[in-house]
Amino acid sequence: MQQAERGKRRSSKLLSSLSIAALVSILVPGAVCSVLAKGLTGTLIDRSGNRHELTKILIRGRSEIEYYVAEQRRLVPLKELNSIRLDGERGDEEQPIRVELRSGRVETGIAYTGGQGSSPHQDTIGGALARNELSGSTNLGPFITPLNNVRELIFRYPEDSVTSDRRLTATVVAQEGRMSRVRNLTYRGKSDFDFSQGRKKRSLDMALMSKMEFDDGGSGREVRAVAITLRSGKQIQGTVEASIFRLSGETDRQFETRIASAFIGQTAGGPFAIGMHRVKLIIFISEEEEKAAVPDTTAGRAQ
Amino acid sequence: MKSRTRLNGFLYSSVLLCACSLLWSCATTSGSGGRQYGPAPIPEGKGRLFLQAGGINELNFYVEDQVTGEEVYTDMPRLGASSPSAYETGSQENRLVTDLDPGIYKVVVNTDIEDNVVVEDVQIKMMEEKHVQIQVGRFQLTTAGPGMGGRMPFLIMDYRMRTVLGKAMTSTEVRHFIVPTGSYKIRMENSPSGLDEMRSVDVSFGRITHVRIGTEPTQEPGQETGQEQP
Repeated sequence: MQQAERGKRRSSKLLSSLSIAALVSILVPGAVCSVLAKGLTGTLIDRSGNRHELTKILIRGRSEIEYYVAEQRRLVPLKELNSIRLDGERGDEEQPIRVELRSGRVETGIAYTGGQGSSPHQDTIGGALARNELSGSTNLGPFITPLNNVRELIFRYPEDSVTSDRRLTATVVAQEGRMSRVRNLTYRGKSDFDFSQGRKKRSLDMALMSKMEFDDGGSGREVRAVAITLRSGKQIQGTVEASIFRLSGETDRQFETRIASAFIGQTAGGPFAIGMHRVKLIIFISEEEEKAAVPDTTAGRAQ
Repeated sequence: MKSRTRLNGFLYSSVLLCACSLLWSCATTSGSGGRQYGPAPIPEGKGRLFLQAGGINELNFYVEDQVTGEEVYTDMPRLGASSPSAYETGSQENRLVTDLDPGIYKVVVNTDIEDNVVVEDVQIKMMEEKHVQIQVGRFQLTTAGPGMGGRMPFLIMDYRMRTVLGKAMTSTEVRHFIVPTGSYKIRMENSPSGLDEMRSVDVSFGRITHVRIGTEPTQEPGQETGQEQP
């Protein structure tokens, strides 16, 4: 009798656990699908003060925004941002922009919004016209507005989502042996490092790296090999462009930026910049190591 | 005796039918070297990813598993923009399709400039097709005039001309440069011909922007223009 009751209880337990598992298996992928389907969500405030709740937010059809800080180009994924604010007049071709990143960092600069609408160049046929607009979806349907009609865009994220925008600290060793401890290290203004593997161009978040070692090619070589060691222990090999020759048509500023400012950041003594042809080794310092480390006094421009 | 003959007849006819059906199936299906019409069925347990690039048939792209970061597919058929031997062939196949295991993927498209087009959260479901739009466009640059060769190097810059995004070279053949949609500037400086041209290029999805840079031939005094005077 007791055995029969036990058997009944077991079977009811099994059934209930199976039903929970089935419910979870139905609900979890559904939730994932709904998050993926929504894309980036946020509130748009236009220049007339109207508020629009948007999903699937894209700028010029892309999930990145291009702006300039101190005349340096930035191309930042929208998922790294908390908010964007565009000032200036509606008809301006370029507008002051204030970008608040999810890490709390705030950047101010200039963004190209296209003004009242540009026309194709006189030598351009085929009717191509770059659309400077922000697009998304509302409850009522698709939403498109010109970028110069946007005043503010505030993004919303799930509570458990994390940002990859982090301030990197690293020890940079130059070819001649000079060592610098650099804060806020970026590669051409971004936290991703670009390299090639044959025809393939790859970008890798520098926050995932523990070390980057460049070969002893010396200056004058167009291409240098790089060995990247990730924090997971995995090693990746690739090549980077390290040309110091001036390209035909390049302006002085462009040439200077390309040659001398591949990696930029700050040292204790001031701004830091080093060209790709000069760097030998970069050792990334984790947050824990950084807290434990003694302040460094190395300063100056390695270039 | 009769029944045996009937059985033999039945066996012969069934063997003949089998042979005919085999022959018919060989004749109607393509072999390993043949070309199929229409897309092949999705393999068992997989989903199909289509990249929609507005009429572009081939792109340099790779697909990564978004969870593990592992690369699951790569296709790099295009030569670099500055390669002197690259041109568009008239017999391009659409290579922007691949079959993948169900999962969530990141698609990275390499363009002819340093900016990649990255599409994240691409969900592939079993036995389903997923169409992903890649926001890239094409432009074509042709040069004409005395002192202008077929292969002329030029730079692709951002619209505000603060950064050189890529270097490229024109071709005597038809050649398209693939870049993310947007506004760019191109600059062609050529010392031998004294040419220094800068142009704005708007690149949009699904269209080819044609840009022509050329020097007008200098007309000798007294040369006939070919137009009849009234």
